[in-house]
Amino acid sequence: MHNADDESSEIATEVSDLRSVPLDEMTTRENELSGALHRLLPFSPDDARVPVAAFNSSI
Amino acid sequence: MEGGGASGPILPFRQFVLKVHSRCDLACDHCYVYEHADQSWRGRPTTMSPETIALVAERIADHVRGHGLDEIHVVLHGGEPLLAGRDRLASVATELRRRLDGLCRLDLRIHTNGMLLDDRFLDVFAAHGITVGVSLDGDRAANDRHRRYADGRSSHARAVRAVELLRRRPELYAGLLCTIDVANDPIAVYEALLALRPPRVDFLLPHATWDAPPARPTPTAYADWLVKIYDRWVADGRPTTVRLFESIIRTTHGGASLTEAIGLQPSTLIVIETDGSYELVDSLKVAHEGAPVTGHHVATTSLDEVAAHPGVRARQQGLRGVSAGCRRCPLVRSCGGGLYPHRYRSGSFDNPSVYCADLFTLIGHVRATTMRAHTLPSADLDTIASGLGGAEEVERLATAQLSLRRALLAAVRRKAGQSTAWDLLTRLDREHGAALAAVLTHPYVRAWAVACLRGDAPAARLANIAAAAAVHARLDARLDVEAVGGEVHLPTIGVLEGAGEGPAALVIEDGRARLRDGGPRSLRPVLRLVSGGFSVVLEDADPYRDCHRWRPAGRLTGEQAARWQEAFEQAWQLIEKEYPSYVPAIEAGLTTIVPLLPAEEGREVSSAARDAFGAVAAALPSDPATLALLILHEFQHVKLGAVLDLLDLFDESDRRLFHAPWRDDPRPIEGLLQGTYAHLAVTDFWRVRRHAEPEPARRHFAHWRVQTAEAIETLAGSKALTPLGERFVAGMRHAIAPWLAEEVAEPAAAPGR
Repeated sequence: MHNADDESSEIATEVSDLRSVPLDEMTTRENELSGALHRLLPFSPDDARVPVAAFNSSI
Repeated sequence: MEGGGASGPILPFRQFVLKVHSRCDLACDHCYVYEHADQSWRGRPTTMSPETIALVAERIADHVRGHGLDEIHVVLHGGEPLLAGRDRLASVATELRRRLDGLCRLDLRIHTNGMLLDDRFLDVFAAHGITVGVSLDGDRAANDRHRRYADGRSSHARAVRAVELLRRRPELYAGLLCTIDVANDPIAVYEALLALRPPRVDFLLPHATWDAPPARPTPTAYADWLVKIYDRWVADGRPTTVRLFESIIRTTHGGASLTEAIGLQPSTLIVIETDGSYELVDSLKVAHEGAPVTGHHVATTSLDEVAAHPGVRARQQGLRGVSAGCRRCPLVRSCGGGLYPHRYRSGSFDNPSVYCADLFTLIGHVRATTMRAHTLPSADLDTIASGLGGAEEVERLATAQLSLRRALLAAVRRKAGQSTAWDLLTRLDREHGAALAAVLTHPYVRAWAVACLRGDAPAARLANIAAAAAVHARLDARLDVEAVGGEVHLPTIGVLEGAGEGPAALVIEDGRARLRDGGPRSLRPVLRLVSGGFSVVLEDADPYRDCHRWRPAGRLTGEQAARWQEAFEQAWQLIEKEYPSYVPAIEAGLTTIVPLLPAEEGREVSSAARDAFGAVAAALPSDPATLALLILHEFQHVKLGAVLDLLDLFDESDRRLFHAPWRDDPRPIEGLLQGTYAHLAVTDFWRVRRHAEPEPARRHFAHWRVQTAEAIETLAGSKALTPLGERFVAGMRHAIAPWLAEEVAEPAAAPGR
């Protein structure tokens, strides 16, 4: 276990900083988009989340 | 996140691992079935019988019907499943498809060591739609370190031959599973696997527990081994999917893991042994004898009953299902405590993974190389939790909102396809970024985009956003924009009247917008409310402002707008004078006020919407002090909503309802948190106000401080908060504590707002 709890620490978020990513590039950045959409639209079809934890011992 | 909780409704199973054969033709010394604590395989039938297969298929079909599942996954597993023979495997697939085809999509897979795989097996798999995964630990030296026959012979050549057969039938080739041994050369393993062109690879940490820890030459040997492969994989341009790496990347961005090895998703997997026994995930065999046992059997027990088994529910708890130490870890949403069996120590799974140090190092490395994310200083969270927050704190929240809105625009573009509007937007983005950002700060850009992505609003408004940015940038353009009710609304710019229904042709020249066919009518600019140096938009026209709990007022007359101006000026002066500590945050974050229709019976109504950061909506109250209170109250929701856009303060899988002292109906944890935070400001309002207006302020202060404090304790004791949420609630408690000690002349009486 690891803590990052001291007063001076920065709390990392799951929201990518997209301010300087060109808009026309963003449509291809699947992970960054899904990260944002996951937080704004938890049940969005665009949020390609897998609803279950997939069995580890097969592929 | 879907979550079943320790009680309450079950989560249906979606993955079924059928142990079609319980023996193996290899004697790998790292195998969890034969070489670890549980030895139950010795007493089981070697092959799943046709009678058991029929029962299994019937149980699964009942479960699918009962829960309306649209897709399930079945893995034919072992032992070595090919030992069951072609005919038995064909009959398993036939029975499953006979029962399930027409009910749901069946994803049917088999996982094999490949020793017996030949074209005749592959013909069977092709006929029944079964994809094939193969276990292979890398190059010959790596593979044969563990994967040998009982007499010591190598399995490598046969495994590679099996994969070569699959490569000739790529529609059947699912991928390769490699169990890690840190004694192997990671790059040699990676290159050997990649040479077989797998569509997917995964690297498995060898099964181990705290009681039987893995061989570990250095504290993070497994992370170091995987990091070497990860770096090479990235340098190679990610030539194939590596399930573990993709899962870390996905969870880093808030998505879901592709494997139970990491992440917080609930497990909806059940194993059915050759004798028809239901078992929990079979890798639990590494923990202790009997660890996977449920005591249930397909002949006697439905899958719904098994889904209620405590051992099943234990792996569906999300954040509550990991150890207290893991809950405090900043990487917990990616790691999820690691594979459940790896947490075992002396009779308990309430521990971090025995691979904790490796997972922390690996996930940290992947995050550092893939993500530049927004961060929030811990001190910011503490300041906001106190009920306040300065300009810097709120500006950081607003900055993250800009990223979120850009992501929404891109998602709309992906949904709607290429358009003139998108071309204009991307040009503005390249050449006039500040102009576009000015429009994206308008609260209802997000409200529209969210509605659009949910299918509740047209994508055509993208053009209005582009047009508004073009006006700001003084960039000449012509494009069709959205008209609603005969009006074209350009966010942050104003309204053009006289449009017909449907798209309207817009011309932008010299920083001015006009309808191409609209005659000489000019644009009505947005209304603004001004008090001293502070100004906000009085938004009475944006068609997407109707996202609050109350209906928005229509277009304001000049007289109505003047009344708003008068009330706002006085309200803001009151806030500046009596509540100066709230001013910097509001000045930094409040951009828009939306007039609402008055409620019946003179009740004050106001609202903030999660999808409209920067906006407060209210019906014009009868006095400026009430407007000041409404602004303070609603801006709390605005701030906290923006925090929740970035951080998890509570376990979103927790569906319990909690008593809120100010409501008759119980509230979900988010509602209680929002209400409590807003009432912290309400309490403070009356606390201060009682000096200028003793009654009813004293009564309201006494009332709200008790209710808010009670709600804070409900939150603190809810066990639904994340460590950050606990920190936030502790901050609220710290803020209200001195107020509880203040003297109030009159006891609490009737509630106020």
